[in-house]
Amino acid sequence: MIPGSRVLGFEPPLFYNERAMNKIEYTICRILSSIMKYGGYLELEIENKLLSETALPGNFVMIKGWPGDSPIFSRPFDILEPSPERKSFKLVIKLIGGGTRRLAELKPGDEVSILGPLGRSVEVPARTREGKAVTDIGLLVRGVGAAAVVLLAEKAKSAGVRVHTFVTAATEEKLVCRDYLANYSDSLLSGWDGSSGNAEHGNKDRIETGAGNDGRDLVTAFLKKDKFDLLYTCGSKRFGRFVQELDREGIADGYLFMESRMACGLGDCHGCTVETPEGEYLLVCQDGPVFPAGRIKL
Amino acid sequence: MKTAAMKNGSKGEKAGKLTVSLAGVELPNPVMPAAGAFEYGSAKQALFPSSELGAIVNKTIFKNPRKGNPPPRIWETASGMLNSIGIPSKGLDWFMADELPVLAGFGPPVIASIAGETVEEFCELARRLSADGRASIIELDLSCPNLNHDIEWSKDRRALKRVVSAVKECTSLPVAAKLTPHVTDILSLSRTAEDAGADILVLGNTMKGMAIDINTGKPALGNVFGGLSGPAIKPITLGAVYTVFPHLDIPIIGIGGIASWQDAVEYFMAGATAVGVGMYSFVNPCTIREIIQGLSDYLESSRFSSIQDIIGLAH
Repeated sequence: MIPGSRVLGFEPPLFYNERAMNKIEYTICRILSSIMKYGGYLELEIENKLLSETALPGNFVMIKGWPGDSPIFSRPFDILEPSPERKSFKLVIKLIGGGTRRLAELKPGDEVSILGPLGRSVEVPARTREGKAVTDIGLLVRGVGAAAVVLLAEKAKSAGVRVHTFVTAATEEKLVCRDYLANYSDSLLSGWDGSSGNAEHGNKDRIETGAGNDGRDLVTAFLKKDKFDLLYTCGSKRFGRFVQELDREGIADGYLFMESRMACGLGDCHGCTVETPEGEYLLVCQDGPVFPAGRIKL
Repeated sequence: MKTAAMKNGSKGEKAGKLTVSLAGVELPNPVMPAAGAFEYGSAKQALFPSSELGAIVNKTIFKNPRKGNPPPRIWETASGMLNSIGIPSKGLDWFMADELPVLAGFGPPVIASIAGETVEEFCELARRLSADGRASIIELDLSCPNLNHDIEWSKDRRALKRVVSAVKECTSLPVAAKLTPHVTDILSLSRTAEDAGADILVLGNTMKGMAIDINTGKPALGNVFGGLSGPAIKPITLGAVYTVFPHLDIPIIGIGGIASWQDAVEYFMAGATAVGVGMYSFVNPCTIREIIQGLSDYLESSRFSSIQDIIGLAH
């Protein structure tokens, strides 16, 4: 037993990797590119050999890209597109406040401090809770939550699992990471608020949802003709509750990518708690950020 | 006024430049985590080994398991943070069986941080830790602002005297009393703790405050109020150390807003024998390692031959 492995308090499903004391770095890294995409989101490509080689779905970094302590804490973001060839990884960032706006000022060649890889990484399990072989997974995401699942989609595709993605946002422009997700998805449906249009990519037939373009409608319409064994979600509490419902009904094993304000990002401060239905507290940075749907009280 | 060397019984030629002694317990260096800023199972172990610390300090434990306060538990402030963590703890039995063996295995002396709802509870924890023998010092957390307690141990002279003297009866280990400077008369309370038998004084703890999230229109923290820590509070806790040092015989561990070796030197010069780092380890997980190295380099290039030479220098 690794000294100090955290006791989860529940039997982890087959898909949790052993959170061994993986090599973690706290180091200065170069910005390779800084681009505004998706109608106002920041995409950074950052040079780091360790992360490019070892980052897995669920891993995140704490990044600080400004001098001094204004603001004082690093910010947490999910890792996507790790590239051992380029020795780099990417972050996609919604510009919200003081820290993220400082990150938007970064130019290629600028330096940032990076702490990572953090979080309990996950891989697509071979079997569902019922013991059925996993052949198809669903990803239901909204806004910047899409960034959290890109690496999962990439790994699932390389493992030969079919990926069905449902990307949603306030407008079509803001369908974050649709470009990356399209690379890894067998089917991709997108929907945005306030319009009757929906679009599809990949090699699938158009699916009419009828009523609306809310991600839940897209999933419901999809399930009339097709299926998936697992359903992951990030970026919307409503979607989280929907996934919990499908999980309870036995339609698909559900998983939630959670987020929280963080101070340390690595399990010392006990600040990033989420609550379970039993009233216990788990840490997003150490027990998560991915949790079985039934494990979290939304 | 006693000099630092007299208070600490320094070991002279055998001690390294950074070695200090707290009530007879020798620390290889004078820098340790503040209670609550070091979790033995955290990923930080992969960054730098805990064997480098001057002492190991656990997250305060109570006798019984506790969940801690509801989220949100942290909120960033200018030059600091508010926390309303509320001391989640798996309880004493779990601590003795699971955590303490790991802490004791790191190498440096273990300072066991404990708290209780009652004097009896403090005593039970102290008794069991003494009997166990793996902790070298017992620290009484008397001043966390996030406990919804009726008794404010560190603000009420009679309660403070009662708890410190009762714990002293239960243990032969040195007892450290952790007080907050957020009081009218820190000197009088510090004297009370010393007179009641405290062997070490820990100054200080987080300062009670709050914030409002203007996006929700509600308090930012789930528990409404929390404790402020970080560089913002350093002048306050440093001031408490400076005030108290000339009047006490017992050594002081100074805690509050330390982010660099220079901050640590300020605390030594004010009168601290050792220092604790809390919040800034969340900003930079290698802070303590950098402070230890910085102190070593500072002594190397200065006229001082050891940490002992600067303790209380500013008086």
